Amino acid sequence: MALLDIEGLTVRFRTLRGEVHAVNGVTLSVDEGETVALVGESGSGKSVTALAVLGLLAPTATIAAGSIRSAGRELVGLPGAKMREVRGRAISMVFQDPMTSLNPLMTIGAQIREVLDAHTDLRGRAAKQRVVELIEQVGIPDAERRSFQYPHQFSGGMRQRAMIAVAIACKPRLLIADEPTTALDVTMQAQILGLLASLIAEYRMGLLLITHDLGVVAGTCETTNVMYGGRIVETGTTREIFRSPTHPYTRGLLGSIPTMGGERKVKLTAIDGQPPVLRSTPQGCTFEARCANRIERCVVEVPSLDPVGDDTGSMVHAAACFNPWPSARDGGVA
Amino acid sequence: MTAPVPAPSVESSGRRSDVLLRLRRNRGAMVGAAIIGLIVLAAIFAPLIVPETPSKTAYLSRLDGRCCPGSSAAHWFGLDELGRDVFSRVVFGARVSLLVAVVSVAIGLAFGVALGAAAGYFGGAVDSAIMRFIDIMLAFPSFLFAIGLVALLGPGLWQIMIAIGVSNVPIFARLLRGSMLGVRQTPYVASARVLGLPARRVLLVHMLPNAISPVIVAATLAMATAIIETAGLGFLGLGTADPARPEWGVMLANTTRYLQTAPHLAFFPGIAIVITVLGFNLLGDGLREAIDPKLS
Repeated sequence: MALLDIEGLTVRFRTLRGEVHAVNGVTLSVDEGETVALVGESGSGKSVTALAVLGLLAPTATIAAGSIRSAGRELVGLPGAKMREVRGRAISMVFQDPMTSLNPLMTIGAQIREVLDAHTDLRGRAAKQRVVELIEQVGIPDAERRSFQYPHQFSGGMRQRAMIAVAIACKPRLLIADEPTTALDVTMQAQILGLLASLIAEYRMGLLLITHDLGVVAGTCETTNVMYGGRIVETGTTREIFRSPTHPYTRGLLGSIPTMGGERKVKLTAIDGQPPVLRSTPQGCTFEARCANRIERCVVEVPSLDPVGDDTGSMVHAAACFNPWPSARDGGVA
Repeated sequence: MTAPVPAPSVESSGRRSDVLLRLRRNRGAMVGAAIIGLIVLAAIFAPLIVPETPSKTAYLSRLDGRCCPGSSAAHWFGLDELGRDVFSRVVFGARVSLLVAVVSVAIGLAFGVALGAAAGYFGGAVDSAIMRFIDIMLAFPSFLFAIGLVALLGPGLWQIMIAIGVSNVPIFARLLRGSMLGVRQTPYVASARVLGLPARRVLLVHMLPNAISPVIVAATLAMATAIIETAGLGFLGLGTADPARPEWGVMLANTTRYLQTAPHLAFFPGIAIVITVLGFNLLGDGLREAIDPKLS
């Protein structure tokens, strides 16, 4: 049974100018010990998907359709008190900005402690010991002394480590990391990703990594979901997607990354235009307006997520496109 | 995993102590604190300081038909129209003023913080309902509001404290609500929710302490206003009538008829008000600068 099973998730926001369709029929799953990426630009619906999982959508948002199951348990429509038991215990989350994700008025130790208080029976000396243990585990030296310090006494990377310690305090089955390395410098990014990988291995957690950075994905995730305009437009093993991206958007994303030691003459390609604001139910493909491969059908019909090439339904690689780039499997040029 | 980077060693125990440190470096705030400290001491030890009880009248023996004798060795601030020792009355007056300042601000804080926190935490309809109520209260000038309340409740020390306290409620409530709305959007509050902490804890431990600073500053400044308003109410004849409990505003009001011949009667209680208010204002401003380092 998957740790997280999202099926056909559809989230809508009420706004002054009508409904916004932030997430449209997103389906993805995370298994034990698996690292799954959800990639997309700002506004593609990645974070909304994560918040929906935790039942923390803004009051203006509604889950119009779909189901979210955590180890078989349906989370959509779960009452507040039950949902609170899930949060922090079964599913936990790490945020983007380590500088502001910790309460500035509480010591790091106290912030780990209160999560233990909320979800476990650990009290007193045992709780204290677990706090120090956790701080050590995320690679913060001098754990005991550091547990009495405040966030402003930690550097950015150390704060992100502390944040991770808070998030994993109750050994959650699933960790959602929303852009966990975006606010950090590159050397720190590698360290934090390494830390996450080692924790996943140790706790047999699942990790849903939300990012816009394909570089981060390449090194850490087994499975990649590319999101655009509230839909998953391409999904598959990270290897497959990087080797032969077939959706024009995925190709665009990969084409916009500079490579070291690549040919100098290869130009970085930008994707023209703006991501859509999903006001009304889109008639055609959401990427249609910016797509170089557009055909007539794209304007009137929404493409479904279909297996690519000779992949028959195993979903090793699937894309939602009527006119995809040829896959390497078809013998096409990637 | 790569080897952990050694942490920079920072030896300081938190933001609260940083605030205290900055406060101690602020000369104005320290002067203010010293003034308030002296006045508090004077109020506490008033019976030991003054030469005679403030209600002792001796107009036949002392005044001798003249109103009113000024400073002398026996009566430093002179005597009032009933022959009472003005120095004793000014010192005892500090008790009333400080009591009103503290109690009325406490009343204002109790209700203002509750309303502001509820509005800022729940938002939506709760927020709208509370804030419209606050807007109505704010539509009245606060002193006018206090006068109305005292007129309604009748004169007396408690009535004054309640009136001034209630007139502070909308100010504290609105300030806290605004600051709570800001705190509500912070990642650490989102993070507290994500971690499944109980709502009570999110509100009391994560939101309120981070939102309360501007209210603390306002409360300090409100103590100064409370003293002025007490004096104002006293001057308007809505003060404490109890002769054993001299109050600076009432003392000022009683002297208007003798202003030509005995200005010292107005001068000493007036100066007492000015110095006390100055003390609270200096401390409040210093506190504001200490809490928000961008200001200094």
